[in-house]
Amino acid sequence: MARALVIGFGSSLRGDDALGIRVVEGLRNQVDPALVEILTLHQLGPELAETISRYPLVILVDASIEGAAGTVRSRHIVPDRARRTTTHAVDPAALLSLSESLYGKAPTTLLVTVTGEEFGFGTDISDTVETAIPRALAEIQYLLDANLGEAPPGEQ
Amino acid sequence: MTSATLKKLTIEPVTRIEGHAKITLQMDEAGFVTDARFHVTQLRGFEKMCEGRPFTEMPALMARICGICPVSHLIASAKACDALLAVQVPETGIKLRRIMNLAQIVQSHALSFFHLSSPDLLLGMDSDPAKRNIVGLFEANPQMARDGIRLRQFGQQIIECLGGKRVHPGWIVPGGVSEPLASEKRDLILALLPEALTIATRTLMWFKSRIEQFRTEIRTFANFPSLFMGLAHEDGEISLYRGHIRFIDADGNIIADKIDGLAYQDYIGEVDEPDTYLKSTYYKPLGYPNGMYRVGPLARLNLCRRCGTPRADEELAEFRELERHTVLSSFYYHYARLIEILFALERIDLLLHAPDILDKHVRAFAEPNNFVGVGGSEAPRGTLLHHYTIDENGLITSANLVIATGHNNLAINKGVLQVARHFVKGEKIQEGMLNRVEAVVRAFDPCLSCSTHAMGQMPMRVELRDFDGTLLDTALRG
Repeated sequence: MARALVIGFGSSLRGDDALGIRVVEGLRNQVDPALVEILTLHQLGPELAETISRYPLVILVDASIEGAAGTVRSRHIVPDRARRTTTHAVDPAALLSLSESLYGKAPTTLLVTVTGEEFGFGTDISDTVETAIPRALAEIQYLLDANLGEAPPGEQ
Repeated sequence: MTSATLKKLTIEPVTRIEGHAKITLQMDEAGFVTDARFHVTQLRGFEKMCEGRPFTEMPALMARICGICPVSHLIASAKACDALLAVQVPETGIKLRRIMNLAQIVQSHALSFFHLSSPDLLLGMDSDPAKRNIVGLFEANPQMARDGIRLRQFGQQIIECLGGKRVHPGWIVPGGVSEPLASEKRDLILALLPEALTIATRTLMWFKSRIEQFRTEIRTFANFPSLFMGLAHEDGEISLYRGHIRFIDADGNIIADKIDGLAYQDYIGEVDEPDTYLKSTYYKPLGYPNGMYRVGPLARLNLCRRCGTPRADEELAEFRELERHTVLSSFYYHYARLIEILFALERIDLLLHAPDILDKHVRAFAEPNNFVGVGGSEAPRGTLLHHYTIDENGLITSANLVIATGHNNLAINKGVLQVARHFVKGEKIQEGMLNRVEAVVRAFDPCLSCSTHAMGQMPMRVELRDFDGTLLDTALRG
């Protein structure tokens, strides 16, 4: 069983909204699949509550509209039952709350965002933001190293 | 009544549906609803995007229309491409396409029932709106919440198992499917079935035990005579993949049958209306708007003679006793959805046990042999049609999609009016009234398909304004 789950999400048809997916696809070649599992999704759904409950560490990767294009940020997410869920997508904090209330576990969860620039129809990432992908990958690698640390005996 | 005495009530956005829409209610000075409209405020635009692209790209591209029912678009698109190629899809390829379609029916119906509508059914239409949502459901009945999640996962796992991805799989292609089924994947899916069947049965029992509490909603939720349309097969079994278009009237009489290919244009008219991006369709021989009809789970159960699987047939027999004839209340869409989940699980089991299910011949190949292709399938919400024309190079020159929510649009509008007239009275907005107006829309489970995802809150603001825009009352949710 992998010890971390990295989820990249967004629409691959809306320009920079695909950043989360592009970043984690780039991560595939950098991590040991026995330790880190990778998932790409259009959006976060309530059914992920069960999935994430099975991992000690979850890293969510998404595009953002906050700040200057290409900005890479990361922050901890804590369960928040007050956060609303939309019709078919849930907020990360609400997802954690669901996981905690239904399955008794809320994994350590971090959200890594890359600020996008163009969200119109199209499959290309804008040039400014493309250059941020290596920095996002480095950030995720740092977070994995910092949070996974030494594997417990028997899991090496 | 002059326009100067009318007031307008707007519900925007409608919550717990797939996509973005609003409802406006027109009221007279006494506070009685005189008219109601359901408006879809998002634009799809895929038809235009297709022009000039190779037809072979269509299934994978069209699947991107929706993150909830991509398999329906895959299948309708692939069937339209089959018609362009004029090929006979190998029998095993058809069976595999059907399994994926059934898996999607399960996961989509589970989303509609557990995540979108069960807060109303479990907590009540008048319950606190702050808790009448998926989180409130999880707190009130964790077992039901886990069941909903598990059933969704089940459908998604099958789709992922067959297509390699749980959303937007590209496995269904013109001429069949791209890969045969491996025996280990078949065994994996078979191992998942018993738990899913247990959940489906438990949920049906629960729903049936609650029906009596919703007598008023059953009586007023789009409960009126109408035509019904769907795919039908000559063997009389419920049809989700095979068959031709059939229309029945409110008494269950077949009024048009075996409509295939381009002939749909002789029976289905489409109308663009100025206040919505959603086209309304109607049964052409009766004209607009008298040709209103309904599609989806309720229509499919009204259209078929049997499901063709033992437990679903038992449930269908009980369902038919509800109104002793064609079932007309749209509240029963929920019930029909649960029966279809049960049917889908049983049918998947039967298909996986077919002797040829592991056959390697799953795709037929050909060059285009026709310039026009029409493909149809039953999506979770109803009949879906894809209609393409191509040039001599195989490039798309036009595309027309007729989607389930469009088929239901006239009935949704009439249903909103019926509910609003019954429940919304006076100048003061009350939450329970408005929730029922939204709930009748949710019964149809309209899918308005978003092209991008959105994080964060989705508050609802309701305003009651006079005819000249004067704000009379406001209610905020979220």
